[in-house]
Amino acid sequence: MTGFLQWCHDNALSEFMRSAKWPYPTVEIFHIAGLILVFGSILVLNLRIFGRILRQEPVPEVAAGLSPLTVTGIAAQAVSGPVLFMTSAMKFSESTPFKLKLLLLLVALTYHFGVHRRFALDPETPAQILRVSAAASMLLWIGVVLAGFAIELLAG
Amino acid sequence: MSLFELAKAVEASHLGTAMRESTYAFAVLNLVHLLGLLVAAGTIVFWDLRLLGIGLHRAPVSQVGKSLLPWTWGGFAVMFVSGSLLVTIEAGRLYSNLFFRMKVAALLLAGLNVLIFHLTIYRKVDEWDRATTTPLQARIAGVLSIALWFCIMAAGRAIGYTLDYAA
Repeated sequence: MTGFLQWCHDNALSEFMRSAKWPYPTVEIFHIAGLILVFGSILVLNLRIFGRILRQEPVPEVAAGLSPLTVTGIAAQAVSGPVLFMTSAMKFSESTPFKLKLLLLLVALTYHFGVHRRFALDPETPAQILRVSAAASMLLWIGVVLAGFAIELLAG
Repeated sequence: MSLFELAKAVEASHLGTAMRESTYAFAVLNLVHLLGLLVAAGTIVFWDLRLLGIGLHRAPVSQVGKSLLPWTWGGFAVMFVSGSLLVTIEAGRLYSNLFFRMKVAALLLAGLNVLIFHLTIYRKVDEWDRATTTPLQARIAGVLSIALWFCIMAAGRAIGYTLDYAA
């Protein structure tokens, strides 16, 4: 593990990220842009499931339309996130909020693609089950955001 | 009183001082500001993308607007209140910060973009409500909105890295 962290910290990309003031905030901005796409698309889907928006549009159609944008956002985050991590691999690996965020993220992603998206795409899913699933999805993603926010806060 | 003197006065005010001296005010306001951003930007981007025929492209444009925009405004209101309170903490230093100025400029341009869109092409939305390929002017408005919101977010993030805390 220490060898891996050492490699994360020492590779050329990480060295570049630490070489000037601007690379880290720049990558961070793309991480946030990805977050807006992921969180926003799931928020919009869940608002539809709760019947707060676009009531005339069937849930599966809304889910199908939003899904590629969720995936686009996740791709942006999956590239930017590890780059940010490697820059200060040792510091992050010892951070409790970081570990919590990784765990929540893993659960949220598995839940989204394994359960929630399937329910949303299936016209046969009972409305009540869909709503419970949407509530769970919203809570998980809010948890990911809160843990992500805490990383920087507690790192000082 | 110049704008800079006003900014200094805001920073020195009871509110500004109380916020600066509080242990949690800055972190809590920052978090509320981020959550406001996620709701505001996270909804408006899907309205902008609809104008580009992406995402919610099967739903009528006017329906997407009517249902998403109240959420955008709600998130924006949260951002405006938390953002204004954040400004009181360091108004004097923000005044001369390049990224703060860029952020205010991008916000004003985003507002202007919305205004122009609603006064022109959106008046005739009945004619293109169900179109996936919307009129060029609507697509331009969508691209501008996404670009300006990206600038608002990026400039906002940059402020935290460029404020001169030694001053």
